[in-house]
Amino acid sequence: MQNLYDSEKNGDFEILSIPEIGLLENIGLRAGTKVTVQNRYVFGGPMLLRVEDTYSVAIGKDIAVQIKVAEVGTANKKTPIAATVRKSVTI
Amino acid sequence: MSGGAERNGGAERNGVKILLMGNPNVGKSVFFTELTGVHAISSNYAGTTVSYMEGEVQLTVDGEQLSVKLIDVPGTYSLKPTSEAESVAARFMEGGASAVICVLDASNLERNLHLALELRRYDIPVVYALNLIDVAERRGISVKAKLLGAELGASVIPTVIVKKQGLDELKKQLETLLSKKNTADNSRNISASCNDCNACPTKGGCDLWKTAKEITRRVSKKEGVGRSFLDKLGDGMIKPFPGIPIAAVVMGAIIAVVVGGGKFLEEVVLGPLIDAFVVPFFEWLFALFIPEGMLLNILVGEYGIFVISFEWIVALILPYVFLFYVVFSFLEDSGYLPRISVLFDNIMRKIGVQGGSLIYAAMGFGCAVPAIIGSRNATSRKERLVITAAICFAIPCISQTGALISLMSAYSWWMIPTLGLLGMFLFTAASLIAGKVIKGKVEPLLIEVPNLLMPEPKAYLRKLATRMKHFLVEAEFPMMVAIVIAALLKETGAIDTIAVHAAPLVSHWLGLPAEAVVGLLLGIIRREMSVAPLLELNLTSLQAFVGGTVSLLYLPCLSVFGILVKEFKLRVAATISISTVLFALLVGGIINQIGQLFI
Repeated sequence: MQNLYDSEKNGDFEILSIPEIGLLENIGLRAGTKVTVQNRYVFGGPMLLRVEDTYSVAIGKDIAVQIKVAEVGTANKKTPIAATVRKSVTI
Repeated sequence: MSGGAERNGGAERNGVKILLMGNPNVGKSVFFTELTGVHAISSNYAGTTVSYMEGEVQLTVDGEQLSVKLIDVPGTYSLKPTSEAESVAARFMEGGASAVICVLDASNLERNLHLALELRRYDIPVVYALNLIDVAERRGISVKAKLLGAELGASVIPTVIVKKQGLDELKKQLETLLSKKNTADNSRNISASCNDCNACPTKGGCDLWKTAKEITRRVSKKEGVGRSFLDKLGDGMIKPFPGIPIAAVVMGAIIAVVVGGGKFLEEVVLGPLIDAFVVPFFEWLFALFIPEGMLLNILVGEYGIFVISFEWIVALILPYVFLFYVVFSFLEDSGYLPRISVLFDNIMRKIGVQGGSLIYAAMGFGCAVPAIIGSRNATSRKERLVITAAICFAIPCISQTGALISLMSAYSWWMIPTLGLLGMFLFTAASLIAGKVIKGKVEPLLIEVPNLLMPEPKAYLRKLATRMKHFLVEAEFPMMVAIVIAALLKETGAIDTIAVHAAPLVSHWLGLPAEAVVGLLLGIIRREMSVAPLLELNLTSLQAFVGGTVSLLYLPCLSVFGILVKEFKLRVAATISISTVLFALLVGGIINQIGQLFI
């Protein structure tokens, strides 16, 4: 499990959990949504996501760090071992 | 507000009310215009309609000609509101209506369906307009409208509203929906589908997102299509490279069109025309039956009403206003502005606002009133107050910009970029100071970036016409009032008396001729009127620059004061107004005092 903000550019991710921000869910980002990271802006700027390969959303760093994601394909493997492995890889 | 939730069972014919709802940026405002003939302003980004609009639709229901009230509800993603504008939508639904038109974006069905499903929880019949099917097609998405209708238990009409496709069918459907027979049936159907979970036809149960996803999967197909040139350009515009160079080019183009074009219209076309024909005509006309004296001077003297109203309004202000809206409306419809918001969010955040607020600042260059109303979409009250204050302090409206350009360019061209830089500096300062003074939090950015589009020519021209008409209606009267006051002050000699009293401030501190006090007086009514009188005086370059600076920072006009009171209460309005005046006089005076040392 990693946070969205630190996920690599052009990668495809599935959202595992989001912070409690009403607009986030309303705009279509919730657990299970697939996103592609398009851009990350320097100096603490936002990041740009392609949501479900349909539309783009820009999202501030403060929110992005609170969103937990997994690379697409790994989202369903929730065994502790897999999670530990992933962690050691990302660090 | 919605204390007594009144339901129209449909039998009641008077007070038939239809709500127009949908996600932001799905074309609701265009539907509103097409259905009512009233021109709502629409743009290609979320949240143009912050205060709702009301109009009348002509329908034939049960063989009876009816005038039905249609309400353009602000766009909302959900009925669980997250901003001031969105809560308006929820309140409308709670207040009840005879029917709802829900506009869906065919190119983004899943999210739009979430709202569609939420609407079913209310006891109100809905007709769905599946809009933007042309855009969806270009993206390889096809939606089966009939199937979707079956899923939603209501009619779904495919539309391309900017081209009026599907409009007639939508009207027919509304007529059926409002007919006596149907209204009775409908409420039964709805209660069966949502108030009773056991009888619920949707497989996803009460998780509306899941249901929306399910339905989308069943009714639509997506094929991979290559990204078009506009898509690629849109992607490029939002990346630092080539986005920032593109922003610089766009900025340069705006200045070239608005400033260069405006200057051309003013000096080469309209100015000479007025000097050579219009003014002499009125001089001749009034001289026929009015003897020489004060009255004749008030009408056609140096400051005569018929002289300055043409020189100031027609030659000096209109060309810039027109060209600004030519450019700005295009940018709005294209979807470029949200890209700028994202691109510069990091910089804007450093001065205390979100990148999203750049849109309000850009609107403010047209007029502060719609900018302040638009800022209702801001995500926190602090954000709203900071950007409002910064606009009031340092962003000149377009008519004032026109007047400033004329004033500065009469002396030397370098004053224009200098004043521009000073304005940017002061905007930053105002925003930083307001950010420190006002308590609260600036929320992180969270916006949808719309597709980059080529504006639809008809919709674009209509919007431009609406804006110009709006300007003439809104601005003409206060401008004329200011001009009559100017004429009376000058031609009756009252100005000399006032000038004596204002001398310590105007002449000693600001270093301007005492007569310049006219500008300070008129500037209370309209911003450009604080500049225009300076054009009639013989100033030195320093005086022109000081005058321009004071005017730039001076009080926002009466209309802005009005909207400040309405949106934020009198205390905020008074604070902003008084501090702008003091700030303007302080900065102007400092520039004068320093300037004097070097001359």
